[in-house]
Amino acid sequence: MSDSLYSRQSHVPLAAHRRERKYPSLAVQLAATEASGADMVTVALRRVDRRRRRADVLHHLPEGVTILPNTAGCYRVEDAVTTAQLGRELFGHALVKLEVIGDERTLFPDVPATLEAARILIRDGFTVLPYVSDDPVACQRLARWAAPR
Amino acid sequence: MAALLRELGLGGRRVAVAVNREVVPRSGYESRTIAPDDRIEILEAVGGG
Repeated sequence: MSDSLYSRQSHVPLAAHRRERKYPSLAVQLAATEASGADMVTVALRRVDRRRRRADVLHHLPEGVTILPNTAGCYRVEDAVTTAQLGRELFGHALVKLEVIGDERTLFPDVPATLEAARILIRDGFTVLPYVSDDPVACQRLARWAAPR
Repeated sequence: MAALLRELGLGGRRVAVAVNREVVPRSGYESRTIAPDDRIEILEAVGGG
């Protein structure tokens, strides 16, 4: 048992911040999202930072897009599962981009942990969009669980 | 829980809360009591996919 839920999150803000800085401003981000015609936009779930009055990214998304919460920053099955469940509470649907990170530097997925988390979430009624490497056996297993015959 | 969120200045903010890994639905904030050793996680959505 680790000492803290999401204990690694505080050590990996880099990727998230890098991604946040893709756009010079939220207005540009909104315009780019609209221009792309995307039906779905991924957001990350993070611990609230009370000191930072962050502009709410959700106010800067086009009308009608489906918001897809991810579990970025999670290194453990339990953290990813809880984060997914919090996303379901936040957005009212059971769609999740599942990420269980296995390597802090490359952000490559921990595939066995991703499979385990996916199985738990599928049983809990989620539609799981998993972040995995191109391992055909792992992917076949995920496909079988997601769409049992 | 509702009082805690207000005290933290998060009353109006769109957040999701778990106590000891169990999600507390928004509708349950008023009735949910918290104990000294509870582990409370408060998450919100940020940009970045």
